[in-house]
Amino acid sequence: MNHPNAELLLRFAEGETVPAAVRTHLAECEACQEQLAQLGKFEAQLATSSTMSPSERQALRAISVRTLAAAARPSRLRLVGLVAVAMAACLLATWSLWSSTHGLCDIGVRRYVPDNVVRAERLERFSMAVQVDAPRWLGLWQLDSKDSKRLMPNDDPLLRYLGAEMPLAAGSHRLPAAEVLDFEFASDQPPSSLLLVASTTELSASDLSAIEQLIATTPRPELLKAVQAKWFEARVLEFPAR
Amino acid sequence: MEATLLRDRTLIDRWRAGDADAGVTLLDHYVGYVRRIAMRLGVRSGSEFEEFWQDLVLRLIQQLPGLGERVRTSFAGYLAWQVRDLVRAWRRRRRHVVATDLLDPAADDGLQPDAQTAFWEALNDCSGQLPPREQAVFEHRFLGGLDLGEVATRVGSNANAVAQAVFRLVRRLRDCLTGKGFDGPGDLL
Repeated sequence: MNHPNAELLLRFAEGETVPAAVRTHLAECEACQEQLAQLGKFEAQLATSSTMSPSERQALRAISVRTLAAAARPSRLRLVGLVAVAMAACLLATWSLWSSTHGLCDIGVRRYVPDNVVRAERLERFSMAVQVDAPRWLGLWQLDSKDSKRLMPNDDPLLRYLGAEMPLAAGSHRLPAAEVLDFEFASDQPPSSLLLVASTTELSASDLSAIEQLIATTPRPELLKAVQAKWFEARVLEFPAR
Repeated sequence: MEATLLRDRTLIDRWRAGDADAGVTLLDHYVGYVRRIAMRLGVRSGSEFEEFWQDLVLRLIQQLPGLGERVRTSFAGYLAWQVRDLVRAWRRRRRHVVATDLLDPAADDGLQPDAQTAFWEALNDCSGQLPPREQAVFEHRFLGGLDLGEVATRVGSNANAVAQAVFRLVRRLRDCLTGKGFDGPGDLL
């Protein structure tokens, strides 16, 4: 008999049923056996190279569990938050609301033109409404297409958290704590987005530096993921348009 | 619906409904598969893959609301696409952080790559020398785990032609790997 075609040979290698004549041929065909041996050795190489130790598998599983747990909490909160936010939106049409895919906060950003400034100054302000379900320290950055500016913690120790007590207790909060401290920006140069980082511990100087390094070096579309690699509860919020 | 797809879609639905354990179970099924593809693309085993895995899980969480609709034919196929995309994103990101691409096998991180990493680097190099069609067959067959018929459909060919390509590419890869000092499975241990 002629050599079986490659498909039959491969199906035989995979343990599928092939005609008896093919099996008989393969038992006597050295060239066919060599081909099968090469395939078997290669698959064994791949299998060996893909082997995970139990400890590695366990470590990866722990990462899955931890990451999913961190993301699961906010989904419960999100539901509650959306309801609250929807009610607020009915009352205050000027509030722009976002709810992200995970995190511990529900957040609203309010952009407004202050009524006590000279119109020619063309300045606007914004504040935020933040809801947390457990105590959280926050960091906030204003992002432009290229530049960024840390809004909180402020370098001035007296204004470090803009009047808010950190960690924020569970519940709803205004940031900054008082309108007089609201964030200000030139009307023709509004931020493109805001980066909010929530953490169970105060962001240290090295944390702030690491986040700012990411902001400086990571393309904007990938920034959130880069920050979330360490701070799961980070959010990037689009700045509301006028 | 195929049993694996049915299982995966059920787990995705439970995960979307808030059952994080279903998500963990789903990911458990595919961690070896993801690792194989990631290593083939140059991600190193150990802490680098752990970091990669975390990024991938975060990405899946972000896409979870629409995941059920995206996975129409195979979660494995969707994952493979995500892994490739994430590796590309990693390369871009790391080029911004340091001048050296850390995913470049030639980059010196001061660590000796382990045997598995070295094998995948060698395999990456060898498979890169295959003709395009054999590269596609290699990826679908040996990394994607598709059967002959599925590979044939994806490369627009028939099962016998794919089988011929399999034997041909295996011979080429074995020769190439032997030339790089990987003669058999024992070399990896």
